[in-house]
Amino acid sequence: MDNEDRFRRTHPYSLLRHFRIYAVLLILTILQQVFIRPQDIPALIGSLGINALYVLTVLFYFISDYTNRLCRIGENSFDVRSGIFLKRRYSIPNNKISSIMFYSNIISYLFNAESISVDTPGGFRKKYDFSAYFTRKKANELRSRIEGDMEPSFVFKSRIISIILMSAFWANPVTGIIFIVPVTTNISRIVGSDTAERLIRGSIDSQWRIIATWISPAAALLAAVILLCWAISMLNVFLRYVRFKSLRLGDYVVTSKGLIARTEIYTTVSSISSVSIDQSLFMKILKLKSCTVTLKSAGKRKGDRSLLFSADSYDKVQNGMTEITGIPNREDSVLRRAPRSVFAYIYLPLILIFVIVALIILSYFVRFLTSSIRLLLYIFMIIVIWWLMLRIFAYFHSRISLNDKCLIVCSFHRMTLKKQYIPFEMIQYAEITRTPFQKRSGKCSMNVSIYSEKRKSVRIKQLPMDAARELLMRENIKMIESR
Amino acid sequence: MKKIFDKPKIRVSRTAVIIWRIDLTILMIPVALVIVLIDAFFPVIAGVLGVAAVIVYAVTMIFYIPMYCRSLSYTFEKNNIVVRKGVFYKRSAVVPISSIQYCVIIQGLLQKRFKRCTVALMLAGSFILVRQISLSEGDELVAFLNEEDPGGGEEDGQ
Repeated sequence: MDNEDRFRRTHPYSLLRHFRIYAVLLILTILQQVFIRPQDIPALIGSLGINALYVLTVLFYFISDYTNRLCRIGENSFDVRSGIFLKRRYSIPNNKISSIMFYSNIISYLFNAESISVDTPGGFRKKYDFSAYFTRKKANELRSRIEGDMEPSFVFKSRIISIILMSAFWANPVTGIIFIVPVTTNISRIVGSDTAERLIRGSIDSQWRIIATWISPAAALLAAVILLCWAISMLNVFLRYVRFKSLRLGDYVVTSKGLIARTEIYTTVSSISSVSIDQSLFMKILKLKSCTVTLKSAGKRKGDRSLLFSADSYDKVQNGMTEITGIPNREDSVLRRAPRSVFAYIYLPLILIFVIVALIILSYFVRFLTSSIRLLLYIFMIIVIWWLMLRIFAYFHSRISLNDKCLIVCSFHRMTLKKQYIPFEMIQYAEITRTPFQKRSGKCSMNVSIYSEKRKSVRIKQLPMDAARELLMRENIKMIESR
Repeated sequence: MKKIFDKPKIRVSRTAVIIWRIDLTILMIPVALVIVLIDAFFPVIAGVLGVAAVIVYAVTMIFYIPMYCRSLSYTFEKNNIVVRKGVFYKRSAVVPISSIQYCVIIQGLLQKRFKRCTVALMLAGSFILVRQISLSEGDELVAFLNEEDPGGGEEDGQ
């Protein structure tokens, strides 16, 4: 029998990875021994306590799981046998695979290991159908088997500046807090709470002196923490997306990204359920667009917003999208949103602006609304005004159109204007909904449901009712009308 | 066509009743331990819970498990697999073979002893369990689904 056809254990790094997570518990047990210093054997056994028992159970479970998990990457399928008490065996046929992900970081690189994760439209949400660490040689073999003799027909390489901009806008200060909180807690533990407090005061008095002349020291500290968390988060996003590249290789769309941790994803073109060309207001000012794909799957990366093109010029993204996915970008028959319906687009941000203005005015009269809260209100006000401007921008660009292969829906979603290309075969149905106001004015909203996780749908507001219905009937798209 | 598809309807055998009865008995051990623990602090509550557990155990062992086994049936048609089950609420699931992505054969310790298995039919976004069929039937089903290429897709040369 050929070596390729044998079931084998995965790379031992998968075991080490589990140990890394539970290493803290091992250290705790050792520390317990050091500090309690048991004098005799019963005391020694007693002091080990529940930690040792827990660690032993975890070790036993992971070692048993590792030894019982056998995989085979065959010519036509991925085969797995796993389970300690509950034995599972399955094989995923190659023709059902929607994406294959290769992942390695510095530590796995040192151990000569690379993770291979396989996704199909089946299985559980937020979980790969197959995921295991293999040697880099094995991963490279699979990679070369997928690629064969094919040459990439189209290659897109992102610019560093666009990745920096993207990281700045995708960065979430809350992510930064996850990193910063343990650091600051440990600093105060090491240097003592008095010294830590002096450090914080010193930073406000020196680095934030200019800001602190305009706002209170507490507000300056808050602004500093937000800024610091945001910067950490931005660095995190930047490292994940730098060296981004996408290309078309036969039936696959290949994307690769990351500096410290490298991710390479091979996605089959047939599993793409929609392509979205996105533009935020800031990107509009800089004349940039980006592109993401949604897959007809339901796992961790299933239905995930996967980047296809980072921010780049209009033409490069539009034409590149057609080159890489084969979906034409022209719009044959266009149906715009109904005229004089701007209020439906902007009423929500308008209400919020009124509320924030009222709270700011109130903060000058009510004692418990401190300057720190006022600062947050000002920040929130800027965000809401930005949101209002986006809604106005979306009002002028919202439309639905067709070409011979797909339905194109251009509408806003959160803080982005999205132009979604949905192949006709990926549309489940289109639902037309009407509020009492819309019924009176002959307008409607449309939800186009696509084959993806969580009943993903694309929504467009304020379309002329009769024209929308006619457009759907013309293309034989299954239509549901709510009463 | 495989043997499994010749049968009009597959019902789970008496072995399934034995397996589920043993499973339930094993499950009762931690329940009993918890009740003993509660008994140390709240003896009255432990007494009530103990009686309730015994009643539930007896009713499930004597009535529910055999009735559930009788209600379980699988029909393997050319294009669909029909799963019927339910004691109080009868449920039927018709799974088009074309929508099955792949299958997982699951075998617990008892199932291994009695040569039984559960086949999980992985569909797009969900799954259906075909419980307590014989291992040979499970293997036949998986082999058929792999051979038939349910999705109608072509090998992509990976």
